[in-house]
Amino acid sequence: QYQERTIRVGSTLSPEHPTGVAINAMAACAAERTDGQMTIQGIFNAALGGDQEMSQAARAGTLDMFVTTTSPLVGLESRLGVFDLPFMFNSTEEVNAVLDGEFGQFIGDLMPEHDLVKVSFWDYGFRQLTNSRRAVASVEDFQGLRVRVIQNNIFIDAFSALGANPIPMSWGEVFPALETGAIDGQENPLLTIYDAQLYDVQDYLSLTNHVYAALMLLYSETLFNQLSTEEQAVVMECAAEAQTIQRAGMAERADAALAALEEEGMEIVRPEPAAVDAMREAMGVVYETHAETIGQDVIDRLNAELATIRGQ
Amino acid sequence: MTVLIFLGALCGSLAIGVPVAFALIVCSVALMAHMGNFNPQIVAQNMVTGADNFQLLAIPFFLLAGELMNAGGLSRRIVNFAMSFVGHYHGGLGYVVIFAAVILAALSGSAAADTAALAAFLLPMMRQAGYDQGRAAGLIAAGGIVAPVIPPSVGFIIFGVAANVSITQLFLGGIVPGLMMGLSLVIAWAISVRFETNLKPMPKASWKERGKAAVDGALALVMPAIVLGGIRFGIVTPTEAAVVAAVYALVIGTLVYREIKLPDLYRIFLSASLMTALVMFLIAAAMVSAWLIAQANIPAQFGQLLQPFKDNQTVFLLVVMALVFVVGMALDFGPTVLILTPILMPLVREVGVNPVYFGVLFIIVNAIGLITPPVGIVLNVVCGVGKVTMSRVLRGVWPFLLAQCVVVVLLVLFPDLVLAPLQWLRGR
Amino acid sequence: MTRLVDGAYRLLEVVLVLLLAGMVALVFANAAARYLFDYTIRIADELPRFMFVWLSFIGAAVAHRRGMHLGMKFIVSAMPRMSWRTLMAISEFIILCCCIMLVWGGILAWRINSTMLTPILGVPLAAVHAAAMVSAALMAITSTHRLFRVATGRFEPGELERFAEQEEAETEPAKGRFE
Ligand code: NA
Ligand code: NA
Repeated sequence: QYQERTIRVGSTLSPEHPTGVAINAMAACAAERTDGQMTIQGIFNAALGGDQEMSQAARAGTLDMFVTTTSPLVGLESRLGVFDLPFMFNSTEEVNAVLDGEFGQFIGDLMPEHDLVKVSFWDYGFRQLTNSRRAVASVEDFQGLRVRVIQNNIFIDAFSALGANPIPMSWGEVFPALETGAIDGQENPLLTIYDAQLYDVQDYLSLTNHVYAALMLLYSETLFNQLSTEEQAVVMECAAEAQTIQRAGMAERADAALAALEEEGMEIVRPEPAAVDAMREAMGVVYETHAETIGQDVIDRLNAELATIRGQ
Repeated sequence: MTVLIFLGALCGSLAIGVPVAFALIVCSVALMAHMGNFNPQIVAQNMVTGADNFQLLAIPFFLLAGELMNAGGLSRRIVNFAMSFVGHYHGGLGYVVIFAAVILAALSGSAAADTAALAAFLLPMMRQAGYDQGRAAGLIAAGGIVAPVIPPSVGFIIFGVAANVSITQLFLGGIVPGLMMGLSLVIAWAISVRFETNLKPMPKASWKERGKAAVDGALALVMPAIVLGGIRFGIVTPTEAAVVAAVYALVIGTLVYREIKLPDLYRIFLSASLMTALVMFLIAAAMVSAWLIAQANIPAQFGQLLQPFKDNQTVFLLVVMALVFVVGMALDFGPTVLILTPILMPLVREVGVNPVYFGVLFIIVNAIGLITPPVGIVLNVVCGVGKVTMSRVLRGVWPFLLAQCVVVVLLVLFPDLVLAPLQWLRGR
Repeated sequence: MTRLVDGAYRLLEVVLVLLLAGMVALVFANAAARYLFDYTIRIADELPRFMFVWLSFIGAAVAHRRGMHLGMKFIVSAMPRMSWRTLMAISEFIILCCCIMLVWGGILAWRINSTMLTPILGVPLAAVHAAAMVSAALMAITSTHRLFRVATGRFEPGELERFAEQEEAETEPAKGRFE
């Protein structure tokens, strides 16, 4: 039932990131459950390429598993764009309830269409804005800010709608561009901001929580089907165990990162709920533009689920 | 075992004359077969994603800028400028070579192009003035290899992308070591030129002539300020700085100096395109092998070989640099950087060496590889352009080669020589 | 026939020049627009990159026909002259196999590349990956033709020497060198 095999898991993150820790925990779990027959080997720091490259490799059956945020897969499955819509979620609890519930199931079921198998939803955190120009607390403060965004049309449109000048740029260029002042700011989850030492080049951190970044652990469908039923079960169950470790690690590290960022001298800006509402209002045009590609039914479905969770 | 298969396939195919890019594909196939997952999609997919990188766009732009500078008369004016100031000293033309080499290095990212320009302008002059041919050619070769160390540098771009290290910081980190290489050449030249007794001195230029040379060359001389200043003060990214340099050289060469005509432009763009394609095809192929190196876990195996040296950073760096030097003797600059970077970087991070500092050292040693036999492209360029035999150049180049190796050892022993100015240049 | 092929390759060279000029124009325009008007050209990241991929691969095919790809010639030139022809045959055959593998891999990956759209322009990735396939096909033709010449001994003047010896740097010193 168990064959001796090596399962390689690609990630753009470091082995020290809670995701790396979770992958290694998953490896330990799998080794124990199969008497060392199944080796899960994490390959970190984008050594196997970026998210899009890894997704193509997994689809082609040349890479077993990888971890990615949902955004780079929007070109493959436009419905994943629903996660890129700003200000959809209010808290991590809400997010986890959605991902572990019916909506997460629905998203996971879309993956086999694209030769992928969803193994687990992990956590990358809410994205926050940093910049070196001013304390951004309201829509007005975005005006003219040169903000690096990921290469994604929803992000570009969202920051344009807020009055900023969004600049799509590859991550490798971001630190030096912030350092020299070629760009003013960027947006990423707290832990990423801390790990990349952006506090050395950024003065203001606004807790905007504008987009929640979900991580997906995906398996190549071709290769998943080559596993025996027992092996598939081991992968799924160990990934579920690792999910708990990953989410707990993220929560802990994100809190620590926020404290550390303040310690490093960043000014922490907490926008008022009214200011956040104004930002959300400015997003109207973004929702409209992208409802067509994402599918209004998908957006409605998520909103309905959120309403249930919020007890409305 | 995996390491041996990798090296065996690579060296074996290189030995029978397979071009490096294809040899990298061959050793990738060997690795796939060894791991039991042969799949042509791995090669096809990684070739393209390896080339699909915005930061690498700086390569065609800097190559184009270099071509435009040589054709547009910018390089020649820089040599004239240097000549008017130091040409009249004993061994003065040698100092002109070093001076011009450093300035050209700040304009272009390519050692071969700089060396060709220097050899074409200065070697005939040095021959006429009675300098030893081998020594003069050796100095020009050693001066040419400052180009990849002082920014802009195609070497830093390739390394930065392959190692995921900031190209901006590599550029800023290369300035002081590059100047040190120039200084080491001045010292080595001052010593060796004392053996030259029958030199015809150049006439000393008057301040008026110097002023004229400076004005004439001013538009060329401000180019380093445009490129480096633009990056340092956040006006442009390194990629954009490269395109600004190309457009600037184009405007000066065609509209101000008027030395480039329309038909020349076509030839220049084509030449830059083809050079780009050669580099990029190699990079693309190297990305395939890098992907398989990561999958096969080669860095870990290699790390075990270097285990005894990992405790001490200085010893580790000396051993690694010696290794790079040996590889660089037999392999071209680009392939050495591309093959060794994915293998060495995980170790460098593990040992805790600053990646920017490592990158600067690594590129210097690779640059020195350009003037070591048997494969030393810059030596070939000097021989070809300057009409000197290889054996004479080899007899002449070693004092300068030695001087630059001393610089490497100094940088290894005193990391602050790279790090302190880097901190200062970064303004924090 | 030869003239037809020569003409086709001259056309490819025009394409290379246009691609490079287009890349320069786009990236320069974007830098200028950001500096002067605080405006970012949305396609100035993806489009130049895709043109760059096409330039790299088409250029590689042109370079292959001209025998420009970097090799370590010093080992071959140290071997007896009579072995050159055999070595050239083996080397060219290996290149041919690599090219066939590139095309084959591209065909296998065609479906996954045509269903993945690029994030900004929204064009299929296959439009980028096709560059490698076209290039490899062109190089395969070149190599096959060369193998045919090796087999029949009808070399072009200097062809065998070009394979075995370091090209003299005299005429175009910087060609193919980027250090
Ligand atoms: Na340079
Ligand atoms: Na060498």
